[in-house]
Amino acid sequence: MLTFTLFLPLVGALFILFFVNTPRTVRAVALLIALVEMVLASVVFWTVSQDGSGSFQLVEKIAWIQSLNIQYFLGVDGLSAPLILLTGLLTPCAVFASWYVEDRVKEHFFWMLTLITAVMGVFMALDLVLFFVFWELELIPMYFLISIWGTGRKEYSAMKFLIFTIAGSAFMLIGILVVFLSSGTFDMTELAGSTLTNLLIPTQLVFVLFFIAFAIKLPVWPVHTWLPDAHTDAPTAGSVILAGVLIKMGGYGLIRINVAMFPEVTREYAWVIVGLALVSVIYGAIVTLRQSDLKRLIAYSSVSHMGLVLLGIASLGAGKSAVTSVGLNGSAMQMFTHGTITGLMFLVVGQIYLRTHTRFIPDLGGLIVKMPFLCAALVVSGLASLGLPGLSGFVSEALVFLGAFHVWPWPVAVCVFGIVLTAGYILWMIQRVIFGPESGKFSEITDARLPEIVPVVLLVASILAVGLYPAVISDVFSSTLSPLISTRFG
Amino acid sequence: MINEFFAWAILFLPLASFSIIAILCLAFRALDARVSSYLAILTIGATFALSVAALAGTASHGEFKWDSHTWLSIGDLEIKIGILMDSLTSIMLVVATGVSLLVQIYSLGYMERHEYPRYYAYMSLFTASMVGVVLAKSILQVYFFWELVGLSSYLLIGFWYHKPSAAAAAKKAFLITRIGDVGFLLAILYLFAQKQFYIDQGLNPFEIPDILGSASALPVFAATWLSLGIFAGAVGKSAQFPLHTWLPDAMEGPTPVSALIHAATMVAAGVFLIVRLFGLIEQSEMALAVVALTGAFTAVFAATMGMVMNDIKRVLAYSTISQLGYMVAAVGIGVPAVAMFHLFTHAFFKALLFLGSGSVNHATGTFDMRYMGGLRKHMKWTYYTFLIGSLSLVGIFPLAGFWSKDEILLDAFRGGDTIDQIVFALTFTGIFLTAFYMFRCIHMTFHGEFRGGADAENGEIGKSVHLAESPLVMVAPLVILAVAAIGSGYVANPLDKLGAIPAHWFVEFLGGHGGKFSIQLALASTLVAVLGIGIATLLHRNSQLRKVGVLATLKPLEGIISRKYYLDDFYEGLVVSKIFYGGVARFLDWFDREIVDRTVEIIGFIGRNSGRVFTPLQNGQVQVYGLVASLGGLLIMVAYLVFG
Repeated sequence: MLTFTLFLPLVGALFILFFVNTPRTVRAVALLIALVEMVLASVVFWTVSQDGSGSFQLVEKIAWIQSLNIQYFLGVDGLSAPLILLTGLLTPCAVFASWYVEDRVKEHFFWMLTLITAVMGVFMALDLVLFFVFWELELIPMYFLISIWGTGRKEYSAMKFLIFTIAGSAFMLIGILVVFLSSGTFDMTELAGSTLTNLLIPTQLVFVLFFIAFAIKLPVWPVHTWLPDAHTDAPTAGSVILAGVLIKMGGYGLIRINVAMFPEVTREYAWVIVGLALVSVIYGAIVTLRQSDLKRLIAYSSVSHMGLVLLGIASLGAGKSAVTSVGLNGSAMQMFTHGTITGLMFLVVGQIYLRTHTRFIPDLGGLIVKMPFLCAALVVSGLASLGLPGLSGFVSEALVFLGAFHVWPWPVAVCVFGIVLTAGYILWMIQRVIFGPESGKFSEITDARLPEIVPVVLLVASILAVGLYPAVISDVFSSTLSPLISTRFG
Repeated sequence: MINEFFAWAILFLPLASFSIIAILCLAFRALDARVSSYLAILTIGATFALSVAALAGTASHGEFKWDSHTWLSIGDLEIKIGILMDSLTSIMLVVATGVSLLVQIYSLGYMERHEYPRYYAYMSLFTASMVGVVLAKSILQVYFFWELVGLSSYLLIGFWYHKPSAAAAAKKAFLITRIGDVGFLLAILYLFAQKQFYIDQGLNPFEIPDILGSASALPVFAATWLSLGIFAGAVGKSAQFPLHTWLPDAMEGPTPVSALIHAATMVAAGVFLIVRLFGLIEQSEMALAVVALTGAFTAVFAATMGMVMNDIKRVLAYSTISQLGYMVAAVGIGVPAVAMFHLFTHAFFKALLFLGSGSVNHATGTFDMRYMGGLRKHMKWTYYTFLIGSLSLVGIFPLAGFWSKDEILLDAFRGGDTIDQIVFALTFTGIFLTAFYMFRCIHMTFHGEFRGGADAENGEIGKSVHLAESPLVMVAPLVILAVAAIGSGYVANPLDKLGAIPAHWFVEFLGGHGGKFSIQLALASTLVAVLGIGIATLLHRNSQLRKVGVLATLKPLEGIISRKYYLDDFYEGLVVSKIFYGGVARFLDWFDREIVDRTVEIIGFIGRNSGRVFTPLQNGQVQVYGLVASLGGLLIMVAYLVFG
């Protein structure tokens, strides 16, 4: 089941590369695969959700390189299942977002589907080597998506993305090797259950090695600067996947490896994490305010929002009272909700850019007259992003704050003030882009067409659903994370 | 009789109306525009009927106890949703849905037909949000709908989005109220941080009855912080100093919206919140003092600005801020039931005044009183209802406003401690100011000679002015509200048994103490009000008076007040634009590009120099290079594995 879900996009990608020729059929095949992938991801999620125990489901384990004890080991639990669902949900959205790509169509869809396999692999792998392979595999398609179908300084941005991540990977690789040489296993389930002591180098240092890799990906201040460039120059589908799921790999890694394998270090250094979170949230939001490129604005807002993931993790720090799992659940929820919300935002902005040929905010204005549907979608994504109750962003934000406040009252209070800044940049953006008098420049433009409406409706529906009844996702996260906290942090 | 199902229906009916209009009329344009208005009005009518039933229920049976339902549960966090149906809830429901109903009927005449679907969708959402705040049993539930009230006001204030000023005002309203909401949210976080205190007693830190029930056991320190946080939320929503500046700008919305926002819904939510949580706030002397002084200061401060405005809606806007100050002050001196009484009567006469100003605008095309005058002759119904509303606001015996305002004064007067005395002095002064600005407004609008309306303002002839009474759908709500502005005071809270209504019913129903009336105070306040009216009339009759004696020395003051004490200039011009956006944000943006990015680039070997080195490789070779680089990473890994 998992293997099939994992490799279906790759097989589809190869099929498109070798057997499909006209752009029309390429799109149709890609869409078909994406839809099947979405269904498969939903089935995976549903299986885990029904089980409710929080332990690994649908496990597949085959020896791969026996001499080194490396396994082909897949499985999903409450932490990965919602992220797999998220990836599945965004896959057809990315295909629809690429609907009007006219340049090298075949290759575009090839790389995009390959990318999905890589991301799925990261969320499914339970062997550190396998995890690392997929982690690296994701770079290649993303690199090409940005450098070929991007805009602006695309080669520079693609290279920057690549080198930042590889730099992080180098640290992670050392970390993996140290863990292996000390414990003799790459098995992530085994490592998460045991206490890692007597490593070759101090445990804190191993923690830092992993932390750097994931922090770059998340991204955390001060290693965030690749993200605005990559987003701004990436094609729409690239941005959707990048913001939607790629950066979640960082948060996933932090929880799966740093928190689960090094609980003592997490507690000990939570004060550093909370500092980084605070800077990311506030600094990110303030810098966002100054952006005049729509995509750059959303990219910086992601830095701010991902700071909340870090804040939730910091809630595990040594406090006066017992650690609760609320903050960590909030982190996980934040990854899911940010994926749908920012995915929607990039999707809509991409569609607006397709029509107006500009992302420069001062050049826009009054768009709602010609594009009521797209503008309404932008408003919904904006409101979700600023944490309006009823939409999903509120739930994750509130959980992070609730969980972290009793441990770090003052830093959290400052972060809560960030909600004013968020509302500021979102509403100001909306005011300048869609309100105001209609500009004569855009008299010819039209509203969304069907391939653009479908993904928007899909994402809005999921944002609303999670906003109104968050338990549908949070119960699954909680099934794994709450036992993790009570056994490892209790 | 009302059960839980019907109580939820009070929330879900307007919500359903919103959804149906949004989907059928706006997204699919499947229905005629008029259908949206009928749908919205029918549902709000049903909601109002249910609210009245709820009031009848609580009046005869007391509070209803319904269990909460779990919404989200993670670890020791349990968020429940439920309905708290007591006297306060049911009164507030009747006020909110009743005024909303009248405003929506009135809007049939005021709004253009093609605007109906969007307008009525937003109106339904607004009503639903407000009802949600009122019904909520959990404080998180209050916050949930509280923010939705913010959203609905954002949508309605910015209804005419093509006007840049409307879009800006909508944003301002949302942002400034959100500053207060930070405090509210922090209070909620603080509650959860105290969870052990609640869990030990088998309570839930978010359930309002649990919070109130255990409030007296809470350390004073905690009660103070909680109260101040919650009050910060109320300061934002109820437009109290220093977060009042959004409200006058919110006049950019359609006038019926102003009537709704400023009479019965949004701004009332702030007062409602502190009344709802009074049991917590009263645990802290300090919090009470802050509440009382903020309210009393705002009451006078806003009234002074009302005295110099030329826009009729802005006069009413400052009047609203000022009256809300009275309510907040009443809570602060420990009489929340009286605050609610004033909220109740104010809802009627303020809605009446706003709708009246809309009727005036319908005829003249402007809101600028300098271009009005003499409308008494042309709009009899509007004039007399507006006059009734004004007299009620000023507090002339025996209109509704008199009874509620006098109760506040009396409680402050009899309170005795310093805070009470300050509150009394300020609110008493406020009466004079209120009488002055209201009659200045009436004189400029209705008396004297007509000064041309929008035509004179825009320098065109025969465009937007048609001096005539507004249509019946607009006049009828005015008349109904005028009746309420006359009678809702004494009838709801009579000095003696009035038919079936017991003496001091309203205040005692809400748990306050009735049974006080001071003829001396009533006379004194009336005298001051008459003095205010007199001076306004004198100045109107003889404009030369402005140039002599004391009044001449007040001239520079008038300039400062007209600029709203430079607060907007300070907040927006200095703090936000210059210091924050032009200073801090600009610096950080530069810092991010030039320092952080550069440093990390250099460390990552992709600074400018290496970029130059790679440039030749990038000519058409990008893909190959990228592939090599990525595979390089993989190769390194394999090499490590094999040899390491």
